[in-house]
Amino acid sequence: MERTEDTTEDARLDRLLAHAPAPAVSATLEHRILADFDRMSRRFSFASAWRAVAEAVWPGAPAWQPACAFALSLMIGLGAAALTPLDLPQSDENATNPFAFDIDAPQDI
Amino acid sequence: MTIDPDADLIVRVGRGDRAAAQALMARHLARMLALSRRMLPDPAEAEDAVQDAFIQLWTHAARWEPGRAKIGTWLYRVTLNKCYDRLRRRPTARLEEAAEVADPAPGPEARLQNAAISVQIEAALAALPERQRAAIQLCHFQGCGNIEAADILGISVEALESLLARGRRTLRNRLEHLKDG
Repeated sequence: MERTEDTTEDARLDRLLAHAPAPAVSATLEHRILADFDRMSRRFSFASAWRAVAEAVWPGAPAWQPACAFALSLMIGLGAAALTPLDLPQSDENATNPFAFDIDAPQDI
Repeated sequence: MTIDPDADLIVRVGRGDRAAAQALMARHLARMLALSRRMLPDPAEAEDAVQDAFIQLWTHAARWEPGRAKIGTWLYRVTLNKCYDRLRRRPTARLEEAAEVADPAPGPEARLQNAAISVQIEAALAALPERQRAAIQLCHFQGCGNIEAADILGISVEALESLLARGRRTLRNRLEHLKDG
């Protein structure tokens, strides 16, 4: 019985609370909030500059993807440079190489 | 896991997209202001609290981690905290300072009557302890579910239900004299 009374009272309170008005949003407030947004987007920071570069290089991707791609390509390049033997003859080799000859030396014909 | 309808917008806001900021504002501003107006007696102060909450959003947008919290929930929580900060600074807010009422009713008599009822309801709401008022505002006026409201308030669902029950009981007693309908 008490529970039914409570439910009725609750429903009555809900109907009363429906009278409480919702405040209207003023255009001034909207302008103030958007002005804050504009001011903050204009503010330079290294993070935003980095994001802009990342966005230009790899649009739509999170910043770590271009950063990883760059780091990986750098590592591959450095690895190749360090480990791959070069075929260019060394100056010391010229002296001992039996196939090398001095063009200015007198030749036995 | 629930999908946040604002997830795409916040990413764009983080990249400085003004249209996304406007869309996010259009989606949440009215409800944030309603919450803030209910919590703070001074309308100008309520607007300042909402503006501060948005500034915090613009600041955090670029570093937003998707999946950690829903943007709506986060915004309401920040708004509430801004309101609490202001209430702490002026703990002796008077009951008569309850929010102004603007009620569009069809006729002048009905309008007057509705306005009178609204004033009393607003006063009764304003007189509630702030946590109870926030709980009633979130669950009754903002249409938040109990889980979301508890998350915004940073309390358990049971604690929220207790706040709601006490708040509703107080309101029922205070508004007993009002005619129904």
